[in-house]
Amino acid sequence: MTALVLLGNGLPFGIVASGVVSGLALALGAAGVTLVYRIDRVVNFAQAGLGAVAGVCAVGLTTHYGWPWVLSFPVGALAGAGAGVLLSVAVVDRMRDRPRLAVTVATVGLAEVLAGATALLAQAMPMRDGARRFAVPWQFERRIGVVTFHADAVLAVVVVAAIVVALEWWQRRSASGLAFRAASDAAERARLAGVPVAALAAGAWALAGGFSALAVMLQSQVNGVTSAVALAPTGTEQLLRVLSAAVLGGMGNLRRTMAAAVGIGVLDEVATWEWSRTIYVDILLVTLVVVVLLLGRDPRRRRAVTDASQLATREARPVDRRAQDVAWWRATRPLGIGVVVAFGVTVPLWARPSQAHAGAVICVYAMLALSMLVLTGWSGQVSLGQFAIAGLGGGATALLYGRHGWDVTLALGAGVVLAATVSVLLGLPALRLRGPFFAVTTLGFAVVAAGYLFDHRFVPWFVQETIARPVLWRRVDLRGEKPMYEAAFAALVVVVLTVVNLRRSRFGRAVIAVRENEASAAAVGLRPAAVKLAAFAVAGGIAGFAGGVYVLLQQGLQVDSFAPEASLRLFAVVVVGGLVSIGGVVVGAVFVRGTELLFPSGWALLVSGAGITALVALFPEGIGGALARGRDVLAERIVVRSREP
Amino acid sequence: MHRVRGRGFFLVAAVAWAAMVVGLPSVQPKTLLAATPTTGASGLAAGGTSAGASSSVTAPAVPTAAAANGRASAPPPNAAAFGVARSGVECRPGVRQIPDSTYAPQCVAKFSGDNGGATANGVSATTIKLADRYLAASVISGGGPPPAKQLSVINTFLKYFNDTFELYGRHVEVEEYQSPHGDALAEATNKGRDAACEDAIALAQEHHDFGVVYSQALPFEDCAAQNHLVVFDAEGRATESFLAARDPYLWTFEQECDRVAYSMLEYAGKRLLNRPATWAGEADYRTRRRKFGVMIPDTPELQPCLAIVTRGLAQQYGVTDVQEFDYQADPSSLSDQTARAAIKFKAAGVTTIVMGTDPYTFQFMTQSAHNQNWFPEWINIGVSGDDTDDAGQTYDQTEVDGHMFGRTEYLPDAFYGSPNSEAARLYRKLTGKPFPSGVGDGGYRLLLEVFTMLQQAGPNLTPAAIGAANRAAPIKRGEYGVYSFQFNPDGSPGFSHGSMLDANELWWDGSRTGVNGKRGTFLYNSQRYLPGQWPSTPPDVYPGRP
Repeated sequence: MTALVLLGNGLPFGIVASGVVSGLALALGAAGVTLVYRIDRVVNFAQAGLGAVAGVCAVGLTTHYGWPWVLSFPVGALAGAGAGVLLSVAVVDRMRDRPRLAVTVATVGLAEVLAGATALLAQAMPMRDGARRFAVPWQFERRIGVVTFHADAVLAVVVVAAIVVALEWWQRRSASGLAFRAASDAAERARLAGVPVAALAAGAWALAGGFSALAVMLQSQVNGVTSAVALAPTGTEQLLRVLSAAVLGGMGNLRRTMAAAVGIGVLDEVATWEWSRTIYVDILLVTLVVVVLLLGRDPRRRRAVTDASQLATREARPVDRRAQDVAWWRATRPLGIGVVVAFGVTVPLWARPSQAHAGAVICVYAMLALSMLVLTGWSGQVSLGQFAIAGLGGGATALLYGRHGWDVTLALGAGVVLAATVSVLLGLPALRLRGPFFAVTTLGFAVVAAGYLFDHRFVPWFVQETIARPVLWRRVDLRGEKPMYEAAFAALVVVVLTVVNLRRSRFGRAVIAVRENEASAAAVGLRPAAVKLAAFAVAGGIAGFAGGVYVLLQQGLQVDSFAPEASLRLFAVVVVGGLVSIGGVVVGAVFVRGTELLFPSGWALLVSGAGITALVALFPEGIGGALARGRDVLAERIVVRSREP
Repeated sequence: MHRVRGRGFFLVAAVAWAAMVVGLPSVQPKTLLAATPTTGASGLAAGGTSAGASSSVTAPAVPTAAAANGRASAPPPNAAAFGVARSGVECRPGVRQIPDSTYAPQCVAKFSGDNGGATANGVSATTIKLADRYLAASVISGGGPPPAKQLSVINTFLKYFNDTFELYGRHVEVEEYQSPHGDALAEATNKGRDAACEDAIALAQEHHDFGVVYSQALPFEDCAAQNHLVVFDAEGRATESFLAARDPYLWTFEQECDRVAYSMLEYAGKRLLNRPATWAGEADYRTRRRKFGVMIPDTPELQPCLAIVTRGLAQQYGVTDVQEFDYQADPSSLSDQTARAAIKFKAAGVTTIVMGTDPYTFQFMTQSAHNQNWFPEWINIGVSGDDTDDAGQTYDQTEVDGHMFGRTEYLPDAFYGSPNSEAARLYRKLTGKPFPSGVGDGGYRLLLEVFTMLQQAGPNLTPAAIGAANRAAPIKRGEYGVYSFQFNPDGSPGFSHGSMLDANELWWDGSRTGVNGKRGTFLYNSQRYLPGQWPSTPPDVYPGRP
């Protein structure tokens, strides 16, 4: 009743019913994510893409080729299931023994590939003049309050209800359902007991693909938007909602997941009815998700502690001590570092200004990647909102330096403090939430930050859109691209040294100890909560510093530079680079952003969706991991040779 | 000591930082822009200051009021009012540089003397280097280089203008520049800034271009201004305040976002308000007074323009019940958002929906409206290509055929390639051949404006000189419409960086065939209206229909 009073526009029943119907599509998507997570421990970012390709095919078969809906609809659902199986066999199966983080990033890459394929298909099958509509051929229309419902809405209810019942029966009554549950709880034990885990996983992917296709087709029909272009699975709005439903369901309970999705659909509908501004809906949704997650008592969230540590790849081990005895090998490390630093320092001597600019961007990415190393590589927390933290630091720097005339180094320091503080606040839920649960809250923060915090219409006192680059120490004019690059490179060196020293310090050892085993760490006198929050503070501080350098580079806080997509991209970058070492992370950032910004356009394919998927499939521990392995092989040969008489 | 061990790095870093803050503070320059690099060996600007080096984003080189006062004094410095022009015409007041266009500037006698050499980056004694930046073609975003047929037409006009316009001993070189890393879709949604800035830096500091003939998105335009590049036609649909903050670098022949808003406000106030929604699809609406809904993306760039309309309707016309729907331009949720918008607008009794969207959102919205059995009047305001036949043909025809009209600054698709257009007539005169189809106007209008600006800027060519010349340029009228920089976006005398002033009325006819051979085309009234001149009569659309 209170809620109804708070709603100025009232709450027509039709709006709630419409929310339920739109939530059904979310429910199918969230169920797919949950099934895959349960069996493979992978957050499938390609969930929407799986169905989009099939959905576009189905829509095109009707609107372009004139197939009746009764044929194209099931073909679409089957194609979605087929896409799921294909993905499982071609990619996921081959990475079964790889770190889950690598597989997760592979799905980020696949999502890009599938989005491109969807666009291609949509273009190849445009709607013909006078074509059939992709809609249920039976006439039905019922007005509930202010909303008109058609047979498509009825179909959505029937299909999803049937799926819920079938899933329940399958999980509880069938042998394969029982096996699936066993494999979900303990895959290794189930495998030893003869359960065909790989086949079950393929089945889960098939269901996910089929659900996704159904979701896409039903959503299209219910909304009446049957253009294939509408099915493009790009953007973070829908992703946030699907993942939110999945985590509210504990990434395991299908019934609760689907109920949560329907709830989100209703919330979306009601909030839009009230405000007509989607960003407010996002804020409400994120707040609600965080509160529910924090107050809830789902044991899966605690169990995810272990999952999170399994997500991260192991650090590169030290080089064989025997190789260290070889004099020239000992020299390779300082020599290598010297060459890299010399290369970095001499860039302004030979690079063109545009390359220097790209170099500065790469330095910023490398700093952000290092902040992710601390948070994800060391602490085991997957954050999908690190760019938003960087944006806060950058915003504070731009504000204090640009508007209030602070010294730029002081403003950068203030940015570091603000970013670290917010990072700690964001980390507080992480004391209870792990893995995907925490990732979704950070993704939500990224969406809200980009849509609200960095928008001068909402927070005019914080957002400084334009600043002049400073003249450092009254001598170094950063308005030129080359001096700006030098400053960014120097900043990167400072961050690298900071991270190296932190890793060697008691702090670094403590963070990794807590990640590995909280109980053991506590037994030796560490306070896990404080250690984790300290890791958040350090990672946030580094991100804030990088954000400060970025706004100086861009000459102002540009809201779209800190969009949630950038955080997702950063997440992929660090995993491609490898979370095994400081060098690996930096190499990864340089490789990915360098390929995007410096190489001829054709090379960008290498770090496109397909490229990222291939890279993590080939190098599951990232480029840094591959380099470390190469180093170990070399060291082993040296040791063998040194023993030869 | 024990406590300090292992923390040496952090102590040193902290001390160094504190020392920097206290002992070696940084300085915040008053200008955003670094000094302009020049190509000339001397790097000296002859005959005056090099405004590129001295101008700043915060301090326009020429005060607006002064420019407005000097509106009548069009002749550029050192230009002779009498004599024979390069084009061969006998110069007198009122005679244009080229006789083929009413948009050509006042003619000037053939220049002889010292043009000052390298007056700005990209300018030498003999050349003015410009770039035509395009983004690589992609499945999603389109783009790509101009096709050979179009390039041939462009080069024909380029040669002619180089031969006839007075460029004070220089000629224009246009480089086709393919962005190596830019993404059209990203830039259209205000992302992709890193690659856009990289291009701007490359064009300004490596290719040493004076300017860029055309740009379609704000990130590149912002970066271009930061790098002292003049963008002659910045079509990112910015607000005037965005362009003014980057004076004198960004100019456009389109209407700025706020000018469109003021035009729409006047159109709604005079022609639509307090009248029944005659053209609505819903029979019931046709007898009701119009109630407006507005659909527009929720972005900081566009919302101020929406505010102009809603505030204006409230303050000038007492209309306070305009329903807004501010959507996120996120493809994954767009169909959900349009479905909700349709429900909300219908429930609110909106009879007339103003669409400030891209064509995809327009398409989805018409389909969602149909799904909700909501058949309002659709007001097309001519932005983002909403008013092209290609776009209109994708809209739900039950919704728009007979029910979509509005205002646009553009002309019909058929006009640009018409054999009777100014571009086609000139092409036929120059080559003796008919104007090829499928090339638009072959870059004619764009090049004509670029050359006009360059001539009017005089021999001491700098971005500031372009700005000063535009501030003094006379009003131009012709078949493409009325152009002048001498009016504020609201139509009052003053100054703005967009020169397109007038607009005409259009409506959608789903039964006729468009120039692309498909069913459905926009029809236009021949009458164009300047700000303040829209008549207070009902829309003059759908003649012959009840």
